[in-house]
Amino acid sequence: MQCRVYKGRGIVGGKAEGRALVVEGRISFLGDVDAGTGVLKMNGGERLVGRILVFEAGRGSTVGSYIIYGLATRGLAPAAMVVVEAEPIIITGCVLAGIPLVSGVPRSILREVSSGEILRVDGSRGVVYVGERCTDNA
Amino acid sequence: MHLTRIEERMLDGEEGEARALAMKVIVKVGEALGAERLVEVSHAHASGISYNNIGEPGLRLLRRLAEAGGRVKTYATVNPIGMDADAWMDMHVPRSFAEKQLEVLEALKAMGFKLTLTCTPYYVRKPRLGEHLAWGESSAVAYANSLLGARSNREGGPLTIMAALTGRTYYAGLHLDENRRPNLSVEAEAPKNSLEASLLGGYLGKTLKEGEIPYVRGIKQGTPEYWLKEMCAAAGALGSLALCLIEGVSPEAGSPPSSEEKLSVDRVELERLKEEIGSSDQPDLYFLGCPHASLSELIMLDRLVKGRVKVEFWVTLSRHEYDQASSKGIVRSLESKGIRVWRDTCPIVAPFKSLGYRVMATNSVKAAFYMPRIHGVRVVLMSVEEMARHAVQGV
Repeated sequence: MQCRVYKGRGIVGGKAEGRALVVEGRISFLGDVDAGTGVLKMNGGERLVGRILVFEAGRGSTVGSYIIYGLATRGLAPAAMVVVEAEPIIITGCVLAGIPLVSGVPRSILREVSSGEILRVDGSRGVVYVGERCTDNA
Repeated sequence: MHLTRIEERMLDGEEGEARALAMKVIVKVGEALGAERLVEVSHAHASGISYNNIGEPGLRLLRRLAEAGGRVKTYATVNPIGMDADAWMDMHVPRSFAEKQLEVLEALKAMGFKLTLTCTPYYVRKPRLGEHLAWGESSAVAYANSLLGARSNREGGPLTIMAALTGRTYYAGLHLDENRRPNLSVEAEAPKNSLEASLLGGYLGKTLKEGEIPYVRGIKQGTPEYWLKEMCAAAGALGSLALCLIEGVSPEAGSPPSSEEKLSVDRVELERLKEEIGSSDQPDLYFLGCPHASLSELIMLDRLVKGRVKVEFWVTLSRHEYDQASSKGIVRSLESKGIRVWRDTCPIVAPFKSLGYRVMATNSVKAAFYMPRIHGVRVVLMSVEEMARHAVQGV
């Protein structure tokens, strides 16, 4: 399978690998996520833990940053986040939680990547690789 | 982003782990928003410290920052919490909640925050024209920008904590001259009371688009300060308005925008908004103090309430204003009429649902916007004069 690469801006460094969880819209971590269980209340209620969360941007209450931090301290957080638009709630949450974050990837990623696909994220270089054998050298 | 040597030191952890983490957040957010540098702030005001709001995750982070030796680097105040910190038992706030809330306060106190516990930090320390601030609490941000000419973006709760710990915020948005110029003319009818001013603010907040800065004509010079406070609060709650230039009132009003765009607001529109967000039910609670009441509002209320209230009546305010009102005998006078005076909190951030009220009367469009959404409470909008009269008559 052809290797697909999306380039954005590395906001929070670190590498992660996991299955994509794609949400086409914006996510409010206060409201759309169950802070106690780490379950996303949209898209059929999947658990965030270990996933690469790919979505448009954050929205709503800035308490969302604390929720992201809280998920991380309890081992319920996504392995990395990839957003189309950088926005303070998600940036703050990911910095506090140490979750690799790439922003500014092309909007087409929301249609072209499916939930369940394996992604590799390099938060320092701002790159997202799609596909199992897809690496820097591919 | 360009950082000064001192800022580099903070980022590198030479002033401790907490300050380094805080600096990292500010720099990353600033970079994403296109800031080329940071700006020193003379006052940080932290929002989002009610346990009802931030819950266990927020408490955990504050505790971690405090344990890591985090200390504020600028004058720092904090927003209201979910209860009167002393009289929470009288408020029937559950002990389990109170204990968590007090833990939040302990962490903030350890870091050097002043426990002002109010959404009106400008009554505690009034910023001067041109001062740079990092304030949360949308009503206070709109007040500082619009009425005092100080400069603050609408910072999120976590970011205000980071700004306090570093004494910095990112230099973007309303910190820059070019983003503080009006680009829309508004003709308004002069409000006749605080409720009308609040409705006008709500209408502007709801109608204006992101980035629109109104130049408002029609507000009389000498309009009471608390009317303008209500206007700013509603504008910030029903929309994202953070700067409203009012002719004859705002220190930075200057001259109207040259653009042709114009918005007229008359009473009909305000009446429509009132019907849209308010109900006409029978209140079981009257409420003044969103944003927190000032000493002069308390004096006014004391004058207006002629006799004992027959329905529960709450006033919420800061300790700062409470102490002044108390020394003048106003608190005792209000309490003798059956009015409850609470410090540190308000119905929006308190665990209100457990208190059993169903319909609240208030002059605040901000409170009317949030109470149904957060607590499922219906709201009746009234002027302070109407509240004072109805509460005594028991209707």
